[in-house]
Amino acid sequence: MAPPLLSVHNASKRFGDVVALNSIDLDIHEGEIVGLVGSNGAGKTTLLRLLSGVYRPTTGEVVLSNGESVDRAREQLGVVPENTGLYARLTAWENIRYHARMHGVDDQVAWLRTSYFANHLGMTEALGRHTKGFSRGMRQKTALLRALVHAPNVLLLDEPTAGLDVTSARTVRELVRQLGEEGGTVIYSTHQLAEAQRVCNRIVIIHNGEVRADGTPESLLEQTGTTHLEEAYVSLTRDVARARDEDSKPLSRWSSWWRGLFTPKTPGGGDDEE
Amino acid sequence: MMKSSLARIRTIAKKELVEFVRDWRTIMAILVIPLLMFPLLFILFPLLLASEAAELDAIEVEVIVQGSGVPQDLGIMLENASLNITYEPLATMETLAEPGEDETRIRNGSVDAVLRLRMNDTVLE
Repeated sequence: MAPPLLSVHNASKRFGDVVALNSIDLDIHEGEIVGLVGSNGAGKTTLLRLLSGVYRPTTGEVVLSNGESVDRAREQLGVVPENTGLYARLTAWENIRYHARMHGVDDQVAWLRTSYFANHLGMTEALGRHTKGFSRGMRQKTALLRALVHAPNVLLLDEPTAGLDVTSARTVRELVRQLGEEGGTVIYSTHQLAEAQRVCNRIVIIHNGEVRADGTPESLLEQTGTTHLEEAYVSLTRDVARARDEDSKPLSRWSSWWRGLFTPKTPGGGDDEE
Repeated sequence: MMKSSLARIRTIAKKELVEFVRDWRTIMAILVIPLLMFPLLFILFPLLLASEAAELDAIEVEVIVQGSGVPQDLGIMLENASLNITYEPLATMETLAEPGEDETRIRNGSVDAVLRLRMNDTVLE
């Protein structure tokens, strides 16, 4: 078997006292479409940020096939973050071209790649428009084109269909599937199991910062003795999901006082639910 | 295939410039505020100062100088002070601070000030 494109070795990530990820081991091979599935606050985004080199693990390491640390070889990765991070006053094409130039890709090559994928996403007409007026779906598609323009070895997508309409979500999923068929490697974070099942050939279930299961949808069913992935997921994540990292950080006395000023009180005396 | 640092800096600078040029609100603020401020500073403000000065010039201050031996340098200063000066002889009085009839003139506004001068031996009072 060929060496993995991307490897996570015993990686943990802490934010102060909060353990966001605990002893993660993961090997991503070429041609895999890996779905990172987990509830909100499970650690999917943190893991993606480790994989993309945005975060450095507190312990352990994330390395590429050549043994190089991932944060030193980001050009091999294409990332679509949850917040697309497009420049509003540039057109979609200018955003993509800027990214391509930063990676040393020739404008003509970038245009050929962009127009090829834009055609699949139905984005060709919109490439010349400023991204300021774009819908969430258009922004997501532009970010996807931007991530693909430098022909990365691994594509990292953080909930790429979150907030998209049915058609846009379907288009994005089809493109990811097509990339997989062409031998591309995609890591796809989502909290929707059905979506992961439709798109991915390998599913990694993350819960409370730990990998609870890792395998093909069939192997997960076999492992849990269930007939549906949803049941398999529930049986693997029976313990209560922790609060999101930002909510579980203890507040200082002043922060607590300040927050209290703006938290409405219910007639019963308790704080309102957010 | 990463670009050299210089090429990256150029790419970033170009992008920043394009973004700046397209930010018409900021550009308008940069251009319009000086256009409004310059006439205010260089036309309206001097006009205001000039009118204030003209108003001050228009005020007539009536001063009575009483006494015979006004020193020459004091006389020149008084003449240059844009005052309407009338010289009168100093009436006989114990002290220069006595109001006398001059109080009535100051109270009814016909005179703004009375300057009394008297030589006391070699000292000007």
